[in-house]
Amino acid sequence: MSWQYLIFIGYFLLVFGIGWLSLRWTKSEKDYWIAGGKLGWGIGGATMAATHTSAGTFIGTIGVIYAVGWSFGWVLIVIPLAYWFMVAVLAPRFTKVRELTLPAFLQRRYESKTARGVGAVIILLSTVVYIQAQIVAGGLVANVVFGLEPTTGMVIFTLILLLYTLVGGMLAVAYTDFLQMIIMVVGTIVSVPIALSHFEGLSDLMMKVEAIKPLTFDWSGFPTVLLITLGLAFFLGSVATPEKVVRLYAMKNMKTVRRAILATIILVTGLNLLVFILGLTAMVLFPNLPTGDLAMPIIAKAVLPTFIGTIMLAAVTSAMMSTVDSLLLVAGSALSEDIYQNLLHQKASQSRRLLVARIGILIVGIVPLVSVLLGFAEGELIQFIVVLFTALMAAGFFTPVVIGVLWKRGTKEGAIVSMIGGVVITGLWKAFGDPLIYPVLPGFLVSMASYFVVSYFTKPPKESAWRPYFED
Amino acid sequence: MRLIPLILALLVFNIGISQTKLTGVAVEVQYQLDAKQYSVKEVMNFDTLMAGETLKLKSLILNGSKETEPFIASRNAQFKVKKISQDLAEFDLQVWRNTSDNLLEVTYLVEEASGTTDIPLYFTELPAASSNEGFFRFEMDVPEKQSYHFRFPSVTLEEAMMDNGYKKVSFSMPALPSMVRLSLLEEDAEAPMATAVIDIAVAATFIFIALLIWRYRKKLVYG
Repeated sequence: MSWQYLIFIGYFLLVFGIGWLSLRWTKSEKDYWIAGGKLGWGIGGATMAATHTSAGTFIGTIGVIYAVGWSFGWVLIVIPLAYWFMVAVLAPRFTKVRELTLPAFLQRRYESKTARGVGAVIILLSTVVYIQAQIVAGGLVANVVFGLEPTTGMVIFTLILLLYTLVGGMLAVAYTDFLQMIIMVVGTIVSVPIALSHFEGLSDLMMKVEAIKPLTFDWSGFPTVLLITLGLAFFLGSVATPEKVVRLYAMKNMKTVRRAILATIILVTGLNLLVFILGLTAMVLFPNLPTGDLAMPIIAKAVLPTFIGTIMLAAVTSAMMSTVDSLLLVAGSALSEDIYQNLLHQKASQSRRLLVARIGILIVGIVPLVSVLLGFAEGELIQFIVVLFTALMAAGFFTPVVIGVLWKRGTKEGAIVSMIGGVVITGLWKAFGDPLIYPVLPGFLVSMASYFVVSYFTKPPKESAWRPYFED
Repeated sequence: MRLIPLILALLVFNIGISQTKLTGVAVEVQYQLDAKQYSVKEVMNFDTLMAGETLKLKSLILNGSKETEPFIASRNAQFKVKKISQDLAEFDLQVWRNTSDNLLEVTYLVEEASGTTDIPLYFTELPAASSNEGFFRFEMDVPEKQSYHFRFPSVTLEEAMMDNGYKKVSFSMPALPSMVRLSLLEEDAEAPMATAVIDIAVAATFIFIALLIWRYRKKLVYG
């Protein structure tokens, strides 16, 4: 058995160990969904950053840079801005009342079970899209590292993920996120100088990239409108997607949130800058890849020393796992708390709800796998599956969540129409609209407009609905 | 804005464009001890070569390695030198007939440099058809007692003795690299251990971090 297998197996054993320990420490539903609401800034920041840094960063961003060039960097500039917005505007009010899920927040803020149910359905649909991207990436890593057929790799990857998310809940997710973040940071910091050692410095690398792909450093490589709308998708998605905002509930207090978000900004921005360099390196060292998404796996396999290369791939796999496990958790909670208990069986016991959640996680994990195996999204760059998910979530949730804690007059009717309108228009635009404009823009505009218009023309909400979020 | 059509086609619409793809590359290198040079034969396989298609064949111009102008053989294509820039050699090949024989053979010599020699490999703008393990195959014949060290790519090497006093060093990987970087060492010299040292240093760093985390675990988890 090769070293690569041993390192991967050792790594996954460690992850399962953490899952098992977390199971022992999980005493209640609150522990399972939001880690008891007592995470400190270190784990909190790492879990937030690890959730952000998915296959979208380590495979997708490198892949887009490999395929199109660094004008994609414009999109990434919005990420620090988005987290600043989250900590300065959203978090102080959003965390006033601590819920278990984002749809639970919708129910509390709008005093509407329907709003909660609609939110849960949107989460389930979007999660299926997103998990597909991560499963495809898992298959690519398995193909390059172990020579497995991509489909076999996808199945194994999904099974491992499902197993430890089902067992451990948020505690397991937070601790493994922390472990994965350390590997990603150390691995990336070490990888960049090793990759650069094949060149006479950064300027030599850039000259060679320019010679091979002359338009790489053209800042207008991406159409401007597409860049702006993609940037909007990243901004809105970073601020108000459920798997991120629920982490605000998992942290102890606002002081912890502020520190954790600062750590997130530093980690996410730093990692993105470093993976840019790896993307450029791949362009020169491997100019003929079948898809840009293979750039990172091939660098790890053929440029880095065995241990670092394998641990980096474990980190890439970790990045995918940390995002998918978070989403599976959010999807499970949407099904058990927001749909099953909220709409179908109000008196369901805690153990019954956890059982429903685990069944839900299983289904939401398997549906995208089947979908990918049937050929959906075949040939699509991973980053663009990721952005589609972000667009759906952003168009659905940004308005009712962010405006909901800033404007007292927002009503449940406004929130429901806004969520449905945002998601439907985003989906329709993706299918039939002008591809130069990324669908989040029309989706977001419709969501905002319908929220304000419908709220204005419907009965104002009771004071009990908005009061908790506007108290000093 | 020049890339708009490409981006739309490849990224947004996800339309599969029917174009020629590279299906595999095999490189054979013979080290010529007397002449202190490497004779390189690179064979590229394509799925289809359409009449009228232009292939761009490129290779990096690497410092310290002197390379002769390549001889390019194909029954399907003619070529002319288009441009040689400071960092890149580039050739345009005009495909002039459809055929099932889709091999392109490039041969050239690379002078051995003092220390590390970079052997540039030719590549095209066409994407590879797959990332299967055997997509790229490299074989090099060196004298039987010759020691060597491959700096790039970092792969597992196979070695087989031959009858003619030479040994064949080979490896496969899932992608075509733009170069192979290697050094020939004094007879029986040990290969440098730099990569192993880096691996050990990184492993030690992880252990150190793990100990720190365990020591401060409560502060870390609960702030």
